[in-house]
Amino acid sequence: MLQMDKLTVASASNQLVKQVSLSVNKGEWHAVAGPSGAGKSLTALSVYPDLLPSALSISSGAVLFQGEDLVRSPEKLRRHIVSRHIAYVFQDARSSFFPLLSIYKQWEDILKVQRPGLKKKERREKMEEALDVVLLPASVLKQYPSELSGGQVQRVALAVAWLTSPDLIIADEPTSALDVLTSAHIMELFQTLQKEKGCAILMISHDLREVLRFADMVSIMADGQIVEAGRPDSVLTAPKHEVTRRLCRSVPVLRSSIRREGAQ
Amino acid sequence: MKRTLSSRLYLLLFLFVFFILVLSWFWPVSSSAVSVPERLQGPSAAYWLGTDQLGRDVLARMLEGASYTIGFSLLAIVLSVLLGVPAGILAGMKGGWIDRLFTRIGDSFLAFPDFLLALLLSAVLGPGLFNVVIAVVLVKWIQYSYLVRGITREVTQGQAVLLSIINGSSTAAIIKAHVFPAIRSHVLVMSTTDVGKVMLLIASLSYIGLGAQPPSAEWGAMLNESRAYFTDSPRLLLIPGAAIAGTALLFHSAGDKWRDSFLKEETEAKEEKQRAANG
Amino acid sequence: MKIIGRQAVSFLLFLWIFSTISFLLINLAPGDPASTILRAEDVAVTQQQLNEVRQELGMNDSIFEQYTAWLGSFLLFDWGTSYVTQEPAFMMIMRALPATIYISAGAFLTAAVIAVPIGSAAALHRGSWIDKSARLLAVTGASVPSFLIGLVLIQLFAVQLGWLPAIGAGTWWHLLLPSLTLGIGMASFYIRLIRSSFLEALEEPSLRAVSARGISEQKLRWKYTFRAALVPVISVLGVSISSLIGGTVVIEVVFGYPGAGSLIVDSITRRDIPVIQGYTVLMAAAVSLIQLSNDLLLRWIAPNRGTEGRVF
Repeated sequence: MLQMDKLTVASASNQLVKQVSLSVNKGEWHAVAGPSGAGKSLTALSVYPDLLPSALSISSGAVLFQGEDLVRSPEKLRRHIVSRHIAYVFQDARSSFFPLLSIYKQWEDILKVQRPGLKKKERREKMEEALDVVLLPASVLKQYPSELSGGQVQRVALAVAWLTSPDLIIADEPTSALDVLTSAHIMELFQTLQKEKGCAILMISHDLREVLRFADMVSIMADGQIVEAGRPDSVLTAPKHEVTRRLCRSVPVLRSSIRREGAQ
Repeated sequence: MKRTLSSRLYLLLFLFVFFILVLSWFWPVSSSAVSVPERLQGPSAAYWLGTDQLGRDVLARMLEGASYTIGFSLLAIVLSVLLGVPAGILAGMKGGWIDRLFTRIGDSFLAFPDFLLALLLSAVLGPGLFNVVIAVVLVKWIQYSYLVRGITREVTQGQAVLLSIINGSSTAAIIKAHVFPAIRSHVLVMSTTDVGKVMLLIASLSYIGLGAQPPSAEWGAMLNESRAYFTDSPRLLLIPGAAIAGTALLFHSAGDKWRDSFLKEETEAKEEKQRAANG
Repeated sequence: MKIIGRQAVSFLLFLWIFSTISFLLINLAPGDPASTILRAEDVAVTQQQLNEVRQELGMNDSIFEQYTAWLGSFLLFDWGTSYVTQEPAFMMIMRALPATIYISAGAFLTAAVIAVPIGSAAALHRGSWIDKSARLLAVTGASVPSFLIGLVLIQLFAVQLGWLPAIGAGTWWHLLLPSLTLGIGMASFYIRLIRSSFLEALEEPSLRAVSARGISEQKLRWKYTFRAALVPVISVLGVSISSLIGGTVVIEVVFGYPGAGSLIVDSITRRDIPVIQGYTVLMAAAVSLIQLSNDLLLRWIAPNRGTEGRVF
């Protein structure tokens, strides 16, 4: 469904993402892991190139989504595809909601665009249903982003994904700013979305245990390149690349599994 | 290159304004000598800018007017700065009840119209330019002290000042080394723009008869005296009008330009710091 | 609710301080109201008459007694009788005020019509020739005194072309030139303000994410960005009203327009103290009332931002 083909993202002076190719199939959870500065976030943002910082651009390669090249398609078509089929969930979810409108007003605008036929009452019902899924009370609707906690805003962001039922959710370290309990809950919500709405997920993750537990595929990035890719249980238990090995060693559970493999 | 060129131009223009102010002191021709037979004459060798409706020399009146319009504006702003900056530093550094009292009073008066105060004062003391100066100072000093208070607080709560305090620097030394450099450019920008604003205030009040009184040749008052002659001698209105607008434009655009370049420097400095912190 | 209460208290406190100061200033100032009144009646003044009028005005009482009497009646909108026309000062001001409100509204409209498109276009095309000429226009506009603009407009449209009445009031046409003059003067301030707040609003980090959810360009600009850009504009409304007070006074004199502004100037030249006092306290009240409602408006449009967006 999503294919990145030899994607290169560059600033004026250097290449930050080099010839990255990866693909996400329908309903698949694809994790991208790697040390910070490896270009993971840029790779994720490249799906909707308008999100890239203005100093950067895609210098070569393609991003194919359901056959359409998002790098070269006209801006209007690109936005249409992205908004109907892809949902973004950022690390700092607060910055993805407009601070001066209540959640209700922002969702109303989204639904008006994405589900044009709905009546006011039906929209309201949909919103309440979505909040119910992410275990937030309906009172959140009249609140403003600044009045919600970090975990709440992140759940609101996932509720948007529930509202719009995208084919793909792109998430950039959605839990790294949250406490352990909240992040466990957020991860379960992602799983719910994958199972019940059939969403594919492309997730940048810093927690290899999460990757091992939830992801169907993992790509390890280092220095702008994908150094290793495959099923998490095989990649993470038998790392081939030096970077992957180092990453795995930092996680106690995986470290022991590596040692065991080395002993065999 | 372009930047230095335009700053030189500004410097030149400010020198010119200063020169005019000095010249107005020494100008030999009387600005109030009435000569009815020679009224409403165009520019000539004897009267470089012609004469007005009473036959007075327009050039001499313009020069006298400069000392009123520009001179009193400068006076008002210098006084406001002299009052406001120390008060702001005091409130910003001491904090506590001084600061609270200060903000309470200041909040109400920050947006208070200096025009209204000038009206009240001219009602009480009779019309005159000094009332305008008093009114301006009463309103403006609070704005300066507010500005300075904010920056002082920001600076004194920073790490550099904390370090100097630990190293045993005196309050005076901290003000000199940290506070002054931080507020200098802000005060300069605000006061430059304010001189332009106060010029317009003085000219406006004089125009409606509540500022400089005839026969004082304040530029706004000159416009008022000659307004009936717009059709016959537009020169009598265009000369003082252009002088007001031109001088105000000089101060406004200089203030603008400095704000831009200081802001740029400041963001660059901040970025530099950030880079140093990251590296 | 608590915030509203606190602000109302500080509003009343400010009014009380200001009115007291204005009372003291005027009553302790040199000059004798009694002789002003008698001179207005244009008769030879005798000491006998002076004493009678002084007694009538309560000028023989102590300053404290005068103050309490004044404050009490002031609160009941009994602002004294004009020394010149012998009418209640309150009535005179109230009669003149609507005319001033008309040209103020006209000026706001003019300023908005000029400044909103120019300011937002300058921000959207930052650094282009549009931006540069907008800045030039704004700084020039801020430097030309409004009475000069007024004089030129009168000369052009009334004297040369004869299209519009130059001075006076009565028809809608009379409103046009004063409103235009005042509005042009105000526009320069708003062009800069709208430009800078629009620029700031365009930087709002959430807008990219909102746009990625399919909200149209139009809606994004006029509902989201515009709303964010409005915050700084509203927060300086108090300043605008302040400048409007000075503006209306000057413009009304220039156009011989019978509003509160020319009333106050006449009153000052005739030392008609009750009117002056009433006007200044009323205007001070208006400014701080605007300031107050302003804070509430900001809280409504930008909750939890408080007065953060305040610009002075």
